[in-house]
Amino acid sequence: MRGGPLRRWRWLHEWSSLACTLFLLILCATGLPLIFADEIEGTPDHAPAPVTASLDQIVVQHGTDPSFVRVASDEGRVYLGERRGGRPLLFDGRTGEPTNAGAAKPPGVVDILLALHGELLAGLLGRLFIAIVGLTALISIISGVVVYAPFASDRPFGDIRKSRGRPLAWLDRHNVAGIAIAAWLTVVAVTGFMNAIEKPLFTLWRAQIGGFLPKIAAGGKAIGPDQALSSARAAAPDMLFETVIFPGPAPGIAGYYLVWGEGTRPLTSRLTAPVAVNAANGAAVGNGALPMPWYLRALDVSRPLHFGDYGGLPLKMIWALLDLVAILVLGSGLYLWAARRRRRRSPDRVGLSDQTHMSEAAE
Amino acid sequence: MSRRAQSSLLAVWGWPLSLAMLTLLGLISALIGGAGIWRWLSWISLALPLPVIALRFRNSRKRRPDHARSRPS
Repeated sequence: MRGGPLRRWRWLHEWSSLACTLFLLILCATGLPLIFADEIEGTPDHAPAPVTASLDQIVVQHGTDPSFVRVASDEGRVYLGERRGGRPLLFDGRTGEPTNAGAAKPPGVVDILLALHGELLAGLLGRLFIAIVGLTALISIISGVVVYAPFASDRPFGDIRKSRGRPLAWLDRHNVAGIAIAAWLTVVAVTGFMNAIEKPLFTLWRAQIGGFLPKIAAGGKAIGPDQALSSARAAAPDMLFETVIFPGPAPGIAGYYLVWGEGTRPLTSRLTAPVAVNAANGAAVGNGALPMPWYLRALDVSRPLHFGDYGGLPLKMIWALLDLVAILVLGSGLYLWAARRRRRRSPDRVGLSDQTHMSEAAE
Repeated sequence: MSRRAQSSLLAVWGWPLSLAMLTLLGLISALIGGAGIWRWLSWISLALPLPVIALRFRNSRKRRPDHARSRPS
């Protein structure tokens, strides 16, 4: 490929990259420590006591308009979220007493990094913006792979022309590093996009599942979260349930508790699904968990593939190094753009773009 | 496709495609495996692009004469 189409791909690569590079640098910089979120937050030095406290009692005593309770077995704690938003309240899993003197857990460094990385501190709008950044990054990666072919056609893989000026050497480095991690970059961009549109996906799913569930009168809430949880456990004994969403508007569904759980085998442990429990009589709908649409399954798989936290500490370190290579590709791309601009302005010198076009013309 | 076009296709895409396949293999094997051989497979195959990049970068320090390249430009 040469001439017009190639010029158009180059143009696409240049401008799609320019549009998202600054944000991608922020995402790479905040994502790097987030890979080690578990290590930063620390794990309890002893196994926590199993959660035995009554969820009903916690909700009755401390909830005003609860949206969810979560049994965090790995922490030995219970979280209570309110519909008005804000950070969830914490309770001791054994006694049901509030920890932190009944106040919400103050946001830690990981929470702040997540708010920066996931929504640029701008809430839902920030999430959608990041989704657009992810798509732009994908365009930049694809166009980068396309323009790699004519670049690489007349030299061995990874040949770096050190003796012909700094920009040309950095063009070669940008290309070899970029193409070597292109698959990883693509996966991280796509899964990052999926995570960013998580909320719209769930809104879509709730609208679909609302039509699927038998209609029952809203507001007839006779059972508490404890019974909803045990109904779900009885309906799907091979799953691990932690989160009970109260009936009502988002994130819930009118008339039903949604009890979210996950599989317990290696292959299913990342696949989440809820059991819908009739809030009036405690009966679970259907056999076990609700069937999940493909886009929520894709979201389940997207989480580990984006965070890199699913293969032990070595995988996290590899993820961090790949992230550093991504920063190198972004930084060198920015440098190359600036160097080309500078040379275009002083036409008396043979510029980088002229040199790359010269090697192309020799074909 | 002529033999020459085939060999140049391989020359351009051989390395990138192998590294991409290794990356995908690594990502999937870590998803499959709770422990053991799958994890090792994922670590090795996902990490491989890193030494490849490092080696190429390092080789550039050795001043490679320009005429080593096949085509005049």
